[in-house]
Amino acid sequence: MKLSLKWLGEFVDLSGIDPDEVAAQLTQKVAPIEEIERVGEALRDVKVAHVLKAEKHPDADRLKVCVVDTGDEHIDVVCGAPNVAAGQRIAYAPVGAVLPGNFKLEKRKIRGVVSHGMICSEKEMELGDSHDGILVLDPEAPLGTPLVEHLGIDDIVLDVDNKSVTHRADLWGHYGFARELSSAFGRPLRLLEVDKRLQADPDAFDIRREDEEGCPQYLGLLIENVSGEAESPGWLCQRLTAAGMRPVNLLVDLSNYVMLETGQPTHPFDQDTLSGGIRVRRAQDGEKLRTLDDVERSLTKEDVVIADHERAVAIAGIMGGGPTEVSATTTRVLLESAAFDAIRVRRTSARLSLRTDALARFEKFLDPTLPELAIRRYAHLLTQLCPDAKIHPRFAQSGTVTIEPRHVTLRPPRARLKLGLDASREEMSDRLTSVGFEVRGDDQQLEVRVPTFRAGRDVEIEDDLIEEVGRLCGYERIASELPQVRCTPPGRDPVKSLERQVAAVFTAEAGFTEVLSYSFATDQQRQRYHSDDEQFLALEHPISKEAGVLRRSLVPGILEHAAHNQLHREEVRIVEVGRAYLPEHGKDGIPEERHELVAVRMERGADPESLVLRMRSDLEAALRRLGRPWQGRAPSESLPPFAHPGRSVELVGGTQRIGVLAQLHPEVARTFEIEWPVAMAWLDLGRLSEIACQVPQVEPLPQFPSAFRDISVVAPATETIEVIEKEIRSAGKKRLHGVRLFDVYQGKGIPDGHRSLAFRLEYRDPDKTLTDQEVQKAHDRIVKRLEQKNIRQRG
Amino acid sequence: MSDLLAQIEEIEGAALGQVQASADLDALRDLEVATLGRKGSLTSVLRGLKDLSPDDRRAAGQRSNDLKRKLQEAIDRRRAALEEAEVQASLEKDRLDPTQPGPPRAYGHPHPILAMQRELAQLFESMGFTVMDGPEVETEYYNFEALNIPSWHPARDMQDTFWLKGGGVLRTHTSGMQIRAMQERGAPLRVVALGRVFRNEDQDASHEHTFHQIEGLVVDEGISVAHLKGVLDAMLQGVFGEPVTSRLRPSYFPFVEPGLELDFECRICKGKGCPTCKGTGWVEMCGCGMVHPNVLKAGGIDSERYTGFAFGLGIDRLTMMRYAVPDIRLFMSGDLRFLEQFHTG
Repeated sequence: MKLSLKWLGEFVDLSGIDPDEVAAQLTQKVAPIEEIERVGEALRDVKVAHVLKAEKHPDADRLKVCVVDTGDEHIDVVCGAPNVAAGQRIAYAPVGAVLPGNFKLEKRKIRGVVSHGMICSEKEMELGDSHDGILVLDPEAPLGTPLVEHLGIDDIVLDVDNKSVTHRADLWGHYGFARELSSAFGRPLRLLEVDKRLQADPDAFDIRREDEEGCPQYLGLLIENVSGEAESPGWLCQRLTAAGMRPVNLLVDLSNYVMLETGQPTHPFDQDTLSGGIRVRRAQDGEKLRTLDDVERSLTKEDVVIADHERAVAIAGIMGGGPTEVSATTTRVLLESAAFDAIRVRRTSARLSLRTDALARFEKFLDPTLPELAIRRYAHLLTQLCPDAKIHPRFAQSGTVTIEPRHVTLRPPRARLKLGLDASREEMSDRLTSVGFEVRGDDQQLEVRVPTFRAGRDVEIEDDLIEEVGRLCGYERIASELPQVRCTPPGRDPVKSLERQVAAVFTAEAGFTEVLSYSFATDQQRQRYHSDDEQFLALEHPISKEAGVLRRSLVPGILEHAAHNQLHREEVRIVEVGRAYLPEHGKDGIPEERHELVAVRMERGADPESLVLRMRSDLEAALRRLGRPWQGRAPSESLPPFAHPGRSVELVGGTQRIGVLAQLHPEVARTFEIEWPVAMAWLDLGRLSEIACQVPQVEPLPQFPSAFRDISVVAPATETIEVIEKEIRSAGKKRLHGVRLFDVYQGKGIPDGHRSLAFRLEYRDPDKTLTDQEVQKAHDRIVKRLEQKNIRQRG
Repeated sequence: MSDLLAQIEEIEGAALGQVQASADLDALRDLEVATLGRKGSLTSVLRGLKDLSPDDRRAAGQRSNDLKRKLQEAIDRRRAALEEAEVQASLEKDRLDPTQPGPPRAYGHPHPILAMQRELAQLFESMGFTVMDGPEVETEYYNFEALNIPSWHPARDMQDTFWLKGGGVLRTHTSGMQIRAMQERGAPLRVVALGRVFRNEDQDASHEHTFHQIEGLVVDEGISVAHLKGVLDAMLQGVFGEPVTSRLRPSYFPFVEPGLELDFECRICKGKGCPTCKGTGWVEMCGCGMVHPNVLKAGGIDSERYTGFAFGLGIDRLTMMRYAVPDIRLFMSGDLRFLEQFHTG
């Protein structure tokens, strides 16, 4: 919302106060001022001047050489405007002036005559569209006065952050802010001048409120002998413009003006377009209304409408109808000023996706005394601006608003405790009184009467008053203080803390880079990766139609990242930790969220099998660092689609599958347009977190040295390394301390369907140094055992 | 006897000179073996002592032992000198190009947002906070209703929320965790929640529909706005590594009362006003306030006995400020050319 400082100055004297200070006080005590706009700033060098002479240029038919009296001196100016003439008061920009558009004036010779500055048109000054000629001013305009001052457009506009005043119905007009400034600067608040002669009369006009819940009060004022063609005076147009509204005609502008002052929207109907009286009712389902913006709106019976005896003429609290708006032919007006149910109008607005200035106010639980105030203010201003207007002395009133005064108790000690602010009872009382509260009571308890303009949904409980005390006394007075800590160790969310660590471990231990991708699954991803029978959680209004559901796997997202990165890297190692949303396992409409890790390792020209094995080492490094023991085994459950069925390892921790390590399925690689070999790892972090963290139990250091022997064997490829190792260990018995595979070879020299495996074996005895014979004996036992299994020593 | 003495003289005359003349350690070792070794010249002289008379043996023994010691000392000195010369020579000769890099290896890069999250989590854990997280798909109750945002409330803007078919919402803030934390843990309470949040907004360089927040909540007896400021100042100091000037000013969030905003003094212009702070000298940091009594009640906490404060802030914006990230969308791009620029965390 935009506030004109001049306008505010009408209600509270701000003279002598720096506008920056006004903004600072509002930011500190009320709501942030996001921008300070100095209207007319760009025209600061332009002054009122007088044309003494205007004669034809000796060398150009269309130019005139003028002598301009600036008040200080007489200056020659060449001007090309057809309308310039001696005797005019004009807007003169001297040499050195900078006009809008950063246009700097210089002394210039035009066809042999030196021109010192410029006589300006409206368009050059961005004051209007007219480029027909120069702007001719009022002949009385005082010579030498800055133009903006003369025109009254020198103003300062403060832009308030609307979100910060969502709860403050009283701050949706200038008057409310004036009240705050009166408090902040200790200057009196002037009363709003209104027409006090008007009388309420239920029978002044035919108004029936059928939807009393939707419209607690409706006032109508009949005005005759006016013209829809009448324009507003300049000062009024400038204020509306400053506040961000476009002047239309006097009758409509005044309605907007009153809204910008008081916060109460009103609406003028062309009385001659209404058939019969006003009915406020629920719309019928499917009822149509063409609104002012020329859009046909379809209504429902939840909507409140203003109707005449034939049709709906306005959507209550939101927008009037086209056919009944004030037009050039209007001579009689019915001015509406009403109270509408905030929740109902808000719902209608949301359904129609139609937000207006009026709605922004009606949805805020306005002061119930405002409709009458607004109608009186409108009448007062109209009388001044249009003395011929015939304002009906009685306004129609349907519905009386009974106002129960609201009292809220404030305990000063509680306020001091909650704010951490040392303020006396007197200070609290004074500050509250300065913005319209009435306060009685003692040091322990104050009875605070809430003014009607704060009584909507704003100030209801003690904490609301504590906020008033805090902001009015000044939050800057509250000093930092750390809370006393009760020494209880913080609890830990096991999945969350694993989630925090696991990707970091992948980056630190194995050179992976963390990536993030969106929680949404696109149609393309579903097509590429998921089967048709998988259930997805759908959004009501997605960002785009193509991303209308929540992902059930992180795999498609990370594969897209991988495909993208293969364009600029030779090797990619990326990892993502995030959630997959599984609706079939949820409850209360909330899906299960599976915390997952997906890692991708790919390299141009790599051998796929060795890439998978390197990924296995990466996993080993990461999970070792996290202290979670696991084993790899042949897949026993169905594999996720990313896994190459022949090159997959099921990762098992405890008794359950915690993840899968695999080469990327070639079909999936193809659909994602990935050309290099890819190894993938997927971990279910929920399950991983259930594996107890392994705490190593230290073994005493050996007393006697180890002896090492290597064994190289040729085994059928179907024998797993796990099984062979088990045989070695069982044959080696107690003295065999370690078995480490250090080479695997298939190819030349090895029979088909076999592979060569080389192990380094470590022998040790706790009680003595082993002799060569003792070691050899154990070693021979192992060789013999392997031979029984058809695994022969390599020659 | 005199033979022997003559031999000793001869050895002395030759060997001492040879020691000084040996050019390297190998030559010196050969000389040592040739004189003092088991089959060395001096050793064989000593072996001849047994044939002498006791007096002669004593005299010659004395003489040869003196020589042996003298020779050994000379050799040791020479060896030390040669060794030192050898070290000196290698120091002269061995060279490494100090600009030559090590062989290539893969470095991991933490995601800047996640690194910031971990940093903040650690900071708050060090202050005794429990780190929590709730679900990303929330019920309407936890995301709005329990936070004092009933369905009619203007703060609930339809177009900002991702509603799910079936009624849930993608959480619009981490604040829903406040109620869960109170219900699960009761008072007193010190928790932070970090996580992904969603707003149905169009994307541009400074707006994302998917971003990250940290939410903090402290509930105890006697908690005040001063404590809120104390904890937030501590957080600022943790993030920026030095004390930072801050201010509180009024703002509005339905789930806090008073509702506040914390600004910190612009670190680029030191409060004088510059384009970064839009000339105000202050940068908006986070929404905060004292927990609304209705919210405490929804969390099952006695709002008369206990008071509390809450705050929430966007991690993406903080990260953008720290690393001068020009476009918020880079965070979700997965582009290694962006992510590989981050090393710490």
